[in-house]
Amino acid sequence: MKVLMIIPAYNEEKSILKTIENLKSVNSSVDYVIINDGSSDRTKKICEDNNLNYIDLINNLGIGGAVQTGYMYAFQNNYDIAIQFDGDGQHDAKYISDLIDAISKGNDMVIGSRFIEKTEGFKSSFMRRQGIQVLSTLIKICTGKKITDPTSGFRAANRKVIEYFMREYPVDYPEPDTIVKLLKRGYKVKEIPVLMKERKNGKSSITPLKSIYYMIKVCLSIIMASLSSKGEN
Amino acid sequence: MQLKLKLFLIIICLIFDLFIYRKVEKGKLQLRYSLVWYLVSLLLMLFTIFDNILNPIKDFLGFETTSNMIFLLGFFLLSLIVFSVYIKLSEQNIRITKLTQELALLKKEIYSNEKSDK
Repeated sequence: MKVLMIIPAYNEEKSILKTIENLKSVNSSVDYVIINDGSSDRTKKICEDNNLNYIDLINNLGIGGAVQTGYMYAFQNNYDIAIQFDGDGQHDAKYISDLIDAISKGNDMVIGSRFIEKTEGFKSSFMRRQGIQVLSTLIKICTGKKITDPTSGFRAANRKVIEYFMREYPVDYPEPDTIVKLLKRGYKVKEIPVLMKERKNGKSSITPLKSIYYMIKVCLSIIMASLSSKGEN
Repeated sequence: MQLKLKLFLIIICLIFDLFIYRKVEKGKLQLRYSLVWYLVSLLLMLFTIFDNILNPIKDFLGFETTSNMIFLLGFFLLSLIVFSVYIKLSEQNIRITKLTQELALLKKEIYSNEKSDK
C-alpha cells in the first residue's frame, strides 16, 4: 500500500527539517510531501537545500487550501492512504502505523485523538479543551457519533476520502467540518488514541482573540454541513 | 425641493457619471460593473428632477416624508450591491485557490520530470 504523509507548512523554518528527519527515522516506509503554503520565511529554501519533497504554493491559501493540494497530489500519484501530519512537531510519527492499520480494517477516515484514553501527553489548555468539548457535543447531536477530538489534524484518509477531499474541502478550520460531512455521506470515521506534544516553534493558527470567531464559525459550519445531507452517498 | 438643491444634485450625478466613464475608459472598471452605478446615478437624477412622482408612492407605502423613503430604499439598494460584491469575492477566492493549487502541482510535475531526465 502506498502511503503519503501530507505536511502543511506555513513559516515552519525552525521545525520542518526536524519533523522530516524524525518522520524518516521512525517510519521510513511512507512517502511524504510538504506543502509550503506561501511561507514568508525560509521554509521553501530549507526544502530546496535539503532536497525535501515539497510543493510550493505561490499564495498563502490557509490550512484548508494547502491540505487540499496534498490530497490532489495524493490522488494524482495513486496513493492508497493519505495522512495529514503537522510540520511543527506536534504529532508523533510512531502512531502512523496505527492509523494505517485502522484504515486497512475498513475505515474511511481515522483520526488520532488525544482524549480517548486517560493518558498523559499534551492535551491543550483548559479553555481549548472546553471548546473542543462543545464541538464534540455538537457533532454528537448532529450526527449521532461521538468524536472525542474533532480538531485533531492528525488523520488518515483512504482512497475514497482522498477523492472526495480533492473535490471538496473547507477553506479554513476544516477539521470538525470535514468529519460531519464525511459522516453525513455515510463514510466510516474512527478515532484511535494518540499522544501529542506541545508545539516547539511557531504559534497555533488560533490566537486567543480569534477563538470566539473560530467557535462561531466552526459551529455554523458543523450545523450547515449536517443540514445539507443532499450529497452523494 | 429648492431649485438650488436640484441643480446641485444633478451636477453631482453628472460628475459621477463622468467619473465612471473615465474609469471604464482607462480599464480600471469593467463595463459590466459600471452599469449598476450608472443606474444608481440615473435613479437619483430622475428622483431629483421629478420629485413629485414620488409623492403617491410615498403615501402608498406609508412613509412620513419622501426623504425617509429615499434613504431606506437607497440603503436597501446599496446593501444589495455590497452583498453581490461579497458573492463575487467568494467566487474570486475559489478561483484563485484553484489556480494556485493547479500551478503548484504543475510546477511539481515539471520539476520532478526534469530531475528524472538528468
